[in-house]
Amino acid sequence: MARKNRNPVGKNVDPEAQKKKTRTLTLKSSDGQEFSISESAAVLSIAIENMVEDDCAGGVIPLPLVDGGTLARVITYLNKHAEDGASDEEKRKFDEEFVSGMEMGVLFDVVLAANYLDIRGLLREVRRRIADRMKNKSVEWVRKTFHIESDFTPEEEEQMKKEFAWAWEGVDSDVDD
Amino acid sequence: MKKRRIGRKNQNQEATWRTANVVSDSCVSALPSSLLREIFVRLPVVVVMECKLVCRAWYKLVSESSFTDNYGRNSPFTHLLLPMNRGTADTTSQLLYLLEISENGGCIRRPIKLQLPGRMKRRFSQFVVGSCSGLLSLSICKPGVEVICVSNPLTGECIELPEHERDRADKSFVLYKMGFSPFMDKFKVLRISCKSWNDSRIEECEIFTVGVGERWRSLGNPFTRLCFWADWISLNGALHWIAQDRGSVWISTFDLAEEKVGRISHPPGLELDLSTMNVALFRNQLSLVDCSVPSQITIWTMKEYAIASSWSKDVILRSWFPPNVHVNKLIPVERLHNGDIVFGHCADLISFNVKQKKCCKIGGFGVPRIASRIMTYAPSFGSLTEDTKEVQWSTINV
Repeated sequence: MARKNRNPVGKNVDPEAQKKKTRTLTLKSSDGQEFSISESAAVLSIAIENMVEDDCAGGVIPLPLVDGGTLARVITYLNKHAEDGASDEEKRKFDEEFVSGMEMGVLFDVVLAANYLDIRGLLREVRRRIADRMKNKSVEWVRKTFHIESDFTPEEEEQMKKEFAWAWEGVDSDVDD
Repeated sequence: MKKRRIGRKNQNQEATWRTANVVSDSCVSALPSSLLREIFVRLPVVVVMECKLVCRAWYKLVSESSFTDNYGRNSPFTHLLLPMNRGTADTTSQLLYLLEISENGGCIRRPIKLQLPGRMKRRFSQFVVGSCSGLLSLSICKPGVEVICVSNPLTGECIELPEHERDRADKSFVLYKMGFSPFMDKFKVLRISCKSWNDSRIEECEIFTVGVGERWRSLGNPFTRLCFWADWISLNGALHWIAQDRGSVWISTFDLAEEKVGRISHPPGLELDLSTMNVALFRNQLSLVDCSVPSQITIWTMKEYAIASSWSKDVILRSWFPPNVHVNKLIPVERLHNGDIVFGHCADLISFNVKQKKCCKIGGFGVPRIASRIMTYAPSFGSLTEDTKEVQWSTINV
């Protein structure tokens, strides 16, 4: 924002319009891998944009909470969404395919990264995908997938299952969704 | 009777067994709770309820009133209830269906068995008399006795309101109306009695604050006359209905916190008529369904509450509906993402495609005749009260 113009002394700065497309940033994952990305793609992440504006982006941006594999995926997403001339329809289709093959564990990594980097579109897409996968699954499946151990006593669990008995009854459905 | 409190905002009211060991670290999940909340909001009601069984931390997350509010605003589903008003003869039927309409217009129907106080399970007839902010008010009666219960159908909780002393020879006609005041965080039930079916003059009006009051309080006679078929809706802490007295007709309000009667402006230039108009809750906004012109149905919606100039209308021609649809029984309930308007029509759901000017039945469930009409419904996942919960839990094993 206001601090945008406060650049380190001695650095030659391109005009605003050119700057983002031509300049590349280097992102460093938790396991030390480095990735180059155009600034215009990187700033789709609000967190990175803030770092750039705060001039933390002089050299390499360290992302200690994101591992290399996840960061590579996130960068694929960012590049697509920063692509010149990519239509909304194309991006939507890309999003669909981008998340469809991912396992739950990968989805978790990506959603955590999107949350940390504040990438709204990706966050929304992955959240929706996780919710879709949770439908028609058993409580045991959810516990296993989310790495949760039940802390209810067997008696409590038994009573709760009785309480929610309606949920296990037959479902009439017209449209599968 | 033990004094009961009902405060959806008060998180301290979770039953003790539940709060005993709830430490956020007791359940190490793959995701932080802020992300889980946003994921849960996208789930169908039944999956949200299953999430409560996963661990204590998730139970607490789903039970928070802020989650229920968030779900009401952001769920991709529209929820409706279809109560099956059951008589004394049939004690095995389901009492309720939860209808869940997805963004693409697909509909899933799920039966819910209502949990009733033990002594009321047999040989009583039950009627759902109202639905408001996730709770239902039920009338349970047999000759000479009528009890009103307030129930959360998802959690199975049920609060029995005090029986009303009533002379058996008393021929008066009684109506119950329920509303929710977000300012007080309280539900209130109105009991309005008239002389008889034929005489709409109100004899007595009483009010009960759910969870606080121990008895019905008299309100004197704040209303003039009662129209039996006028719908009452609860919105913004007040009840709304069309009232009429000596030739004048207006939209009347009853502020639930102040317990005062007021008026709200109707669409400018429209002459209200009780026989062809009714209020409805459409997209969580005050709306007026107007069938006064025989060839069309007009849905008036007050986009900004209490702003007279914000009334806007959708006009739908009568001829766009099949001949067997009774236009005056259509209740608009939601506008889907594709622009279609969903109506409740008795026990059916009708979806109207605005662009193609066509309508089709959704669901097509083959609803039994004893079904009453469809009600709007906002799922509430939290605990109603602490002590009713305990009562209910202790009676389950009896």
